[in-house]
This record gives sequence, structure tokens and C-alpha cells, in this order.
Amino acid sequence: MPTSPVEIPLPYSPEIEEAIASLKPILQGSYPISPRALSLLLLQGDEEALDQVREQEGQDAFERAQAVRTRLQDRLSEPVEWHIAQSRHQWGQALVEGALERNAPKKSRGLGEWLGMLCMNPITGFPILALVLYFGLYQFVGIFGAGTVVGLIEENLFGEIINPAVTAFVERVIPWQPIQQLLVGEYGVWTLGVTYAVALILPIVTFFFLVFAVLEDSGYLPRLAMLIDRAFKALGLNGRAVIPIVLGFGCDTMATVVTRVLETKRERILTTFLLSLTIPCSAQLGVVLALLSGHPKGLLIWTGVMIGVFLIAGWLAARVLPGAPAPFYMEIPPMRFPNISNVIVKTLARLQWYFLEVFPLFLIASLMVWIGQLTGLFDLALRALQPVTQWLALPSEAAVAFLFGFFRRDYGAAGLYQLDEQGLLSGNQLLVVAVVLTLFVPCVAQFLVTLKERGWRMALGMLVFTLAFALLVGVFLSWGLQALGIAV
Amino acid sequence: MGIKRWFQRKGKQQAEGIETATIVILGSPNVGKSVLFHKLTGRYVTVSNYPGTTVEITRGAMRYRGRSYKVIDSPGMYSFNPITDEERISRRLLLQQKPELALHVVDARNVDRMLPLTLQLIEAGLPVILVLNMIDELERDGLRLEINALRQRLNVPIVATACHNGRGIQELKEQIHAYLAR
Amino acid sequence: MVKVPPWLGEVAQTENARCKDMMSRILTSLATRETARIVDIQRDAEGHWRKLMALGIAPGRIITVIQRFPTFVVEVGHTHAAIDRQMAGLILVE
Repeated sequence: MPTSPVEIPLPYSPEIEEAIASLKPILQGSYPISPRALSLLLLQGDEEALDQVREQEGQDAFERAQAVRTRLQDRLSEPVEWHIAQSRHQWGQALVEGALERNAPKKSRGLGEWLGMLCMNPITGFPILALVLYFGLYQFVGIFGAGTVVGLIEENLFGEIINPAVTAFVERVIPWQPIQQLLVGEYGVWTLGVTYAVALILPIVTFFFLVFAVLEDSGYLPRLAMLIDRAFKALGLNGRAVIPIVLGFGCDTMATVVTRVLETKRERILTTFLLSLTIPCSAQLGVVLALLSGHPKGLLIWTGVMIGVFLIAGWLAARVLPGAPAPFYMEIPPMRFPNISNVIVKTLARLQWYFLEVFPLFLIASLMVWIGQLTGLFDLALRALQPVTQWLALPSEAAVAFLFGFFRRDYGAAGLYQLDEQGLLSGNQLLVVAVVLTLFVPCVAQFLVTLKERGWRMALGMLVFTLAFALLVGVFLSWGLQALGIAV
Repeated sequence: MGIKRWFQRKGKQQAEGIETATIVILGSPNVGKSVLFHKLTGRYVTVSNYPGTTVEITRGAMRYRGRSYKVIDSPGMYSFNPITDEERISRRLLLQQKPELALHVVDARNVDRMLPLTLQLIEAGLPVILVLNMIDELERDGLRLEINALRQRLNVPIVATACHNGRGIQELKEQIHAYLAR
Repeated sequence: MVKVPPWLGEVAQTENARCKDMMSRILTSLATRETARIVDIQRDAEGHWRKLMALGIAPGRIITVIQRFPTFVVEVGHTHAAIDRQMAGLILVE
């Protein structure tokens, strides 16, 4: 085997080398990369390189460089880029030739390989997806995380021990009532903001991020992306979008940020839209599970409505927005057992992000609620929402749930639990509320992130549409249940 | 804090070798760049078994033998000719930072198809160490890579690693140190 | 005659004429577990061929179709990659 060093840089075809040589006198400026590399970029029409050259060498030299490029392209049968890519690819092969050898038969990866194949086969893949959703999302995050653990932390730790102590302390130290209201009132910074973020959202999100990290680390997500690609094409997306969509079940705000992994602007807009309309985040899932806990049929209908809305809204949005889905390609890494420390590191990193980015927004939300109440703006808004509750055949108290849902979804729901306990809400009404609350306006944090990522026009447009659409679906559902005589 | 004390502290930091050089970690998506970043700097970033997780650029510091280096983790990049936004970000980062050292991380099993980027980096005149990551996966597949042969052909330092369990990290740090302390 | 997927348009028409001479066919015509050598990657206007090259799917390499539905899964070298029908349609094999 030859071990002598290869003369690097390696030579391209004579035509390309000639073009590089004729560019040499033109490129006089100082560049961050070698003249040779810059020349190659120029010959391939790289825009950033072209801009740099125009800036440093002036228009005249720039045009001469362009002429070299045109001349080269005329001499070649294929795009310059293709020739260069081909040469490099062949060098890669040649350099490894003889250095990479098999010294033992390929060991079967056993269980992992087998499982990986099952995940990609549509016959077994979809049942596996259902199992993952049922155990990972419903049982672990929903029932255990949002139910048991939140119950312990929120009701016992915060509700009975911490919050009464903080309230008593604030009331003793600050005699001024509006400030007391701001800090420990019904919607106070502490009672609403901190309690909500720490006692409710934190455990739910932690459990979700754990599940997500396991799925990620095992190599399941690329397989899911591959499995779902065709279905997503109908929604104007491709398989790549499963990553933000699945993450949305944990936190729609984070998922909206992660839409950056998508390749085209169109896909980013469509995914942001679906996230804000249909994908319930873990906090919402918690609320819905709690509301419908006594009505399994209601939960089933809720799931059906959500899937239906996801498909219909996605399909329609893809028709409205011009363009075609980007083609799908993704490497499929080997399926492997997740590395525990990796999973923990990832979960912690996401939680850190969550706290730095989302937590402050909850505090702002409580401040806004406080101002809204103090100035009477909320009463006005509630009055405006009254007719809406009538269309939905709901008691007028439900308006509070919708208004607060924007700031803190579970708070709105808390009022509903009370109504439910007093026997003022039927199963059907609970179902309608659950559907509207899920579709309804994203939370403040998600709205602000959408604003940042997509611009105010897009964010406001989505806000208005989501509001109208949520109510429309609610009204239809309410009528539909009545007309069909369904009681859940 | 008085300005004098500030200068004194600066002077002390320089004596300790505070961030003397910049190292950029780059490579295709899904080759373990973020895990390597964590192993070198001790900083956590979100790492994943799917492409495209490092959407933002992460910075940290690596301390070794009394020196400190600035380490930057870049989004996934297949080639020097960018197709996606991530690749555009990575290339701009590379060109603007003018790093003293580029760590090109590749999946050892797929080194043949990842070498074109190594070649492009060398072509561009950037100082490169090639990191053959996931060398354990290669061995598990019953393959053997003659690193010495590859090193001689390419004429750049090459280190084989398995970042997730720490194998080769010490050697890589030593190589980085040897390269930058010259 | 190789069937031309409509999205490939004119590029494919000319490629098709060429690939008839070379006895090559589009990857999508391979059956599951079938192996072939890649003879060419069609240069579509959007530049998707570059993504295939980045995955190591390039002329001269041996490609195996692992799965065809719901999306193509192929093996090239030590890489497994999922590519949809549109991307697979760019790959000419013999």
C-alpha cells in the first residue's frame, strides 16, 4: 500500500486548473481563505465569494473573474460544481482505499438492528408509534408526570406549605393591597407565575424532555421521520418536520424555535402554524387529561378532533401557501440503547433553556394579568367573550377560562374544575371546552417566539386565525354532539 | 474596581494563558460534534442522534496544561458549498473567526465520504486536525482503519476517538496542545 | 424505456435518452434487497444532487435498496439513508 503523502492540494481537471491560474492575478485583496479555495468558490458561482471579490477588487476585476467562470463553463459539458464535487468524491474514495479493511465478519447488531427495522416497516412501525405515544406520552408524561408528581408538588408542597407561608409573609411585610395582589394575589407573580412554572410546568416538561431525549438518543426519530414522510407531504411538509412536531408535545415554544432545522421558509411557516393551532403542549395535555379524566369517551373524541383538525388545517394551509414540499433525505443512524448520562445531560440542557427563555415570559404574563385586572380591561374583555360562550352552549364563567388560557392555560382550567365539581358542566361541555382550549391561541411565550421567528404580521395573522378557528370548531362540535345525541 | 486592578488581573490572566487561540469544531450532522464539545469544555449543549440540533453556535473554553483555548461548536456542515442555512452559518463562522485550529469530526466508518470536506479545509489553508469519531462503531462492524497510512497520505494530524465514552479525548487534547503550543 | 417521473421534467428527458444508451435505469426500479452500481446522479435545477453526494451517494458507488415503502431506505458504504421517491429518482444505476 502506498504510504507516501499525497500532494495536497490535489489537482482538478486541466480546464479547472487553467481557470484557477487565470484568476490568480485578479485576486489581490486579503481573504480569509487561500486564493485557490476562493477561486474554486468563484468558479462555482458562490454568492458570498462573488460579493467579497466585488468588494475587494472592484467592479472591473469582478467582471473579469466572471468572464473566466463563463469561459470555463462553456468548455465543460457539466456544471463546474459537478466536476469539482466528482473530483473530491473520488479523492475521498482513493485516500481511504486500502486503509479501511474488514478484519472480522460484520457482527450483527442484534436486537438494535432488528428493532430499527421494525420501526421503519409500516406494518410494525405504526403500532410501535402507538405504543411509544401511549406509554411515553400518555402514561409516563400525562398520568405519572402531570398527575401524580404534579399532585405532590403543586397541591402538597406548594399549595399547603410554601404558598401559605409566602402569602402570610408578604401580607405582613407589605401592607399595600395592590402590591400584595401583584405578588401573592389570585394571579400574582408568585402564586401564578412562580408556582405555575415550578410546580406545574417544570415536572411535566422534565418528564417530557426525558422521554424525548431517550427517543432521540436511541435513533428512533429519524426512523419515525422516514415512516411519516409520505403523510407529511400531504401537509406540505416532509419527514424532517416530525422533530419540531414531536417536540411540540413537550413545549410548543421550544418547538417553534426548532423549526429552524427545516430547510425552506414555507416548511417553517406551515410547521409554526400547526404547532400553534393543533399540537397540545405538555401543560395543555395535563389540563385536558384532568378535565376529561371522568369521561373516556370524551377523551377519545378529543383525540379524534385534534387529529382531524391537524390533517385538515395542514392540508388546507399547504394548498394556500405557494410552493411544494422539499424532498426528504435523512441519514438513519444505527439504533442503540440510549446512553443514560447523555439523556440526563440533554434533559438538563433543555430545562436550562426552558427556564431562561420561557420562565420570564410567565412572570410577564402575571404582570399583564395584574394590570388588566387593576385597570378593568379584563372585565371588558370578559364581557366581550360572553356571547362566545353562549354560542358554545357553555356557562358564562367559561369566558374566564378562555381569557386566562392565553396567559396560563391551567388557570383557566382551574375555574372549570370548580364548575365541574359543582356539577354545573356536562361531559359534552367539558369536551367542547377542552377542544377550544387546545386549539385556542398559543400561550404568551409561544406567541412571542412566533413573533420573533416569523415576524409580527405572520404572528398576528396566526393569532386571529387560531382564535376564529378554535371557536368555529367548538361551535360545530357543540352542535354536532347535540344533533347526533351523543353524551360523553 | 480600579482600572489598575483591572489591568493587573488582565496581566495575570494572560500569564495563565487565557484563551490564546480559537478552535472550531465542524463536520456533518450527526457525527458527535456536540459530545466532543462537551468532552473538551465541560459545557453542556443539547446533543442528538438526529441531524440539525445545533442550530445556534455554542462557545466554551478548554483548559489543558495551564493553557486555555476558546472552543466553538458549529452547526452541521456537509461541504464548503453551503446548501442549507446551517451550512451557511458554519461557513461564515469559519471565515470570520479565522480559527487557529479546525477540528474536522467525521464518522470513522464513513470517512471516505466525509474526506472531501477535510480536503476543502486543507485547500482553504485552514489548520486541520481530523477526528475519526465513533471508532468503536467501526470496530464493532468488524472493520479496521489504518490510521497511520491515512495520516501519511493526508499529512494532517489524525486522532481516533469514541467521544461518548471518552476514548481518545486525552490524545486529542494532547494533539491540540502540541499543535497550538508550537 | 425508463419511466420519467413528471417532476424531473426536461432534465430527465435528456438524461433518459442518455441512460437508454448506457443500459442504466432509475433507482426506483430496483426491488427491495437489490444491489446495483450507481452510474450517474441527475443534476436537477434545485441542486438536490448535492445532498445525495453529501450522503455518499455518488457515481461509482454500490447501492442497496433496503426498503421501498413508505420511503426509500438505501445503504451506501456504511451509511443508511432515507430518501423519498423524488430524490431516489435522481439516481441512475446499472
